[in-house]
Amino acid sequence: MEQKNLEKAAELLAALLTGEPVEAQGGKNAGLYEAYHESGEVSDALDLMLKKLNLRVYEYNYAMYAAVGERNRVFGYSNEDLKRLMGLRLNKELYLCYYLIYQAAACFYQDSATYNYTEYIKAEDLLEAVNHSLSGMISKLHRFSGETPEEKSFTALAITWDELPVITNEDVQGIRAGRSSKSGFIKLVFNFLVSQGLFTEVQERYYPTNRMHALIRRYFEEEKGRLYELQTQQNKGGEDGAAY
Amino acid sequence: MDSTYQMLHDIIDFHNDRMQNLRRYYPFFCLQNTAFHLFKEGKYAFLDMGYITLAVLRYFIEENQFNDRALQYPEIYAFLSGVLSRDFSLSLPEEEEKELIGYIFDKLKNDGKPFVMEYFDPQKKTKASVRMKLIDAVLSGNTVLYTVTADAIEFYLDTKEIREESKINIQQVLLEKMIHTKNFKGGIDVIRRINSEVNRLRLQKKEVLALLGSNVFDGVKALEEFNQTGMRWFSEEQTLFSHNMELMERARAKAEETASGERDMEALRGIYQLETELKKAMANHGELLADCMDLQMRADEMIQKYKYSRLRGAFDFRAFVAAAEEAQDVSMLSHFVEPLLMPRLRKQFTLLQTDELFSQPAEPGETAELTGGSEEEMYVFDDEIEEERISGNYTAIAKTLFEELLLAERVTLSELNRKLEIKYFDGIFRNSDYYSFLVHICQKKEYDLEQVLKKQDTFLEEILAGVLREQPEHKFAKLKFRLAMKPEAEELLHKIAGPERDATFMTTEIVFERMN
Repeated sequence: MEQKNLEKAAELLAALLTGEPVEAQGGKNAGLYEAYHESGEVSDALDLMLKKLNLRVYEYNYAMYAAVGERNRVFGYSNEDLKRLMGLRLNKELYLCYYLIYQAAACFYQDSATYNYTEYIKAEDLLEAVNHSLSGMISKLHRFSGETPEEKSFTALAITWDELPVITNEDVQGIRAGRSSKSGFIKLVFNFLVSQGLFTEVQERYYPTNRMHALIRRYFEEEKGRLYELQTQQNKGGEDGAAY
Repeated sequence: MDSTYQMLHDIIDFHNDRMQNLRRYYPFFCLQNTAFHLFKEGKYAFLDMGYITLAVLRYFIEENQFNDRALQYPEIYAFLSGVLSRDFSLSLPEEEEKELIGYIFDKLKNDGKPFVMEYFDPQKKTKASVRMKLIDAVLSGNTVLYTVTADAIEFYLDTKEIREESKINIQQVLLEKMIHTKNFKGGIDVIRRINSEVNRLRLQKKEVLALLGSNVFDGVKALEEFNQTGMRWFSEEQTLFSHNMELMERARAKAEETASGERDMEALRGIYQLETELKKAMANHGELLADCMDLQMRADEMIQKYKYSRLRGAFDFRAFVAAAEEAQDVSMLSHFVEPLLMPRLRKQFTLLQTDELFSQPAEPGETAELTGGSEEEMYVFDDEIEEERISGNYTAIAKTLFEELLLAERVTLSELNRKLEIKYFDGIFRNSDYYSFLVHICQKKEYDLEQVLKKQDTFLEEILAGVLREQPEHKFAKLKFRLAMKPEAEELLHKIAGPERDATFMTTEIVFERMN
């Protein structure tokens, strides 16, 4: 292999890892995008490095995006990492954020193949979506037994959500990210999603990015077998497939 | 015996239902009892929170149900301010009023949390709890809109009328009575209540539809419940409506015939007003019916669509979340979230750990653990072991060959073999190194050991150089020899130990000739 091709592949890997845009249309990495698609050596070298590092790369709309493979101890996040990153303290808060992220994505995608042409969502749309999706569970809370539900159960999630006020203080202008109200949590999650390059914000409207499209379409399409296995395992009460 | 059984059955099995009904009253008594004692050292303890609660609920029902709009805080503030000044003759400085009303409203919505009532569940023999909210909030833009909950409406209506499965029916019966007793004004109130109930059902229909959109299974359950509690009364309600309409018409005809004085004219006006209201209510009720038909159709459509999408190959996020819900494990969602994240590049040392490192003092009496003076171990890899063995065997064979060549000018392989057999017994021929030695040595036709010592071309020569250096007087250093194959001679056969126990190996006769 030529040294220069290896160098290109390494540069490309660095760009993908740091989240720099690697697009055909322009930007400083357009050359690398081209090299990957034109030189077999560059693509082989990059694919090999990605494989060994347990990373994936997905393409969408002439751009490349890196994703982390399952249980990647180097580039993946533990629950603690995520809590620190989002400024959370309790596991149940993290689970609520998981749910909010899922709901934010579900506003656009029902499954990995369809896209329902919603252009953007606002914080209140997400609030409403979560209210609706949890309404069944919250109505059941009227009758829930006095035993404390398990921390990671959906019942606990519904209680956490139900007990949060919509907004903390009437007088505060605008919503601030925080853990003490529903809208605070939503702001927190959107800030996080923007920082992860999954959404962009324009005047409090949140648009999903190409990176989001790429990952939703390709990652879940590829991994669906494993994920189905996981969900059937869970339903049988099999081994715990939770993140490390 | 039977009666005791029946009684116990009533006590135990229906307890939960009773508590469910009592739940609606719980927030009221909570508020009534505790509201003002802790605020400003009981300065406002004379205010009756029960009264305020009911007043606010009525205001909400008026705006939410009759006028069909949600309320904003400033409106609620204005209403409460009116209540305080009108009914309690309270005039306060603005700042204090603001604080008081803020406090009252926080209490009413229980800081956004539901009121939780705990009780003993005699069936499960555990503590159970029921929850209820009076006021709900939704976010619209940057403003919060408040609405009254369906539970709170039921509570409010319960305080005056008896609650039955279809409230519309009860109200109709009431209306019938009012028409008979010619209380037309009261009749209008009753019709308003019917309208509010119809509105509540329409609201419930919307909720069912939203639920179907997000979770088909829960939605179907809610739909069934809605059909059972709401829709099955429709036909009965319709007949009662037409019956009341008939009554109204008769009352009007009678009044028109006999109307003479001012009082009669007023009654007639009341009848006309009531008739118009009743017509409106009937239209409203008809719309509800259409809504419900629409709900049924859309629900069928949604269920159908859901069934098809289940069959497609794509990864269905909703099914995944439904599975997580079934397993009651939110953490499964991490499999959805984590792949979307950027690779984690910033590695952090958790603050907790650093904190522990700095602050954890050694326990008293704890002695330092001594590390034993164990010797450092050298790791020997498998290939090193092989290499050592090969080089040992080659050295032995090469030494024998050189010694033979010093004694005689020509040494054949068979002679060498005999010598080796004497030295190392016939086990040597079972050793594959012997054959690989032959293969290596045949790579060159001539060997000048003096040159080998200076420069080694092959792997074998490196070992040969080692042999030469080992010899103290360099007795082999001057040795030069060549190899000649003698294919005409009989080939040598050996049995060697291989994977198959008695494999044979054939070598050509080789003659080693000394050249000096």
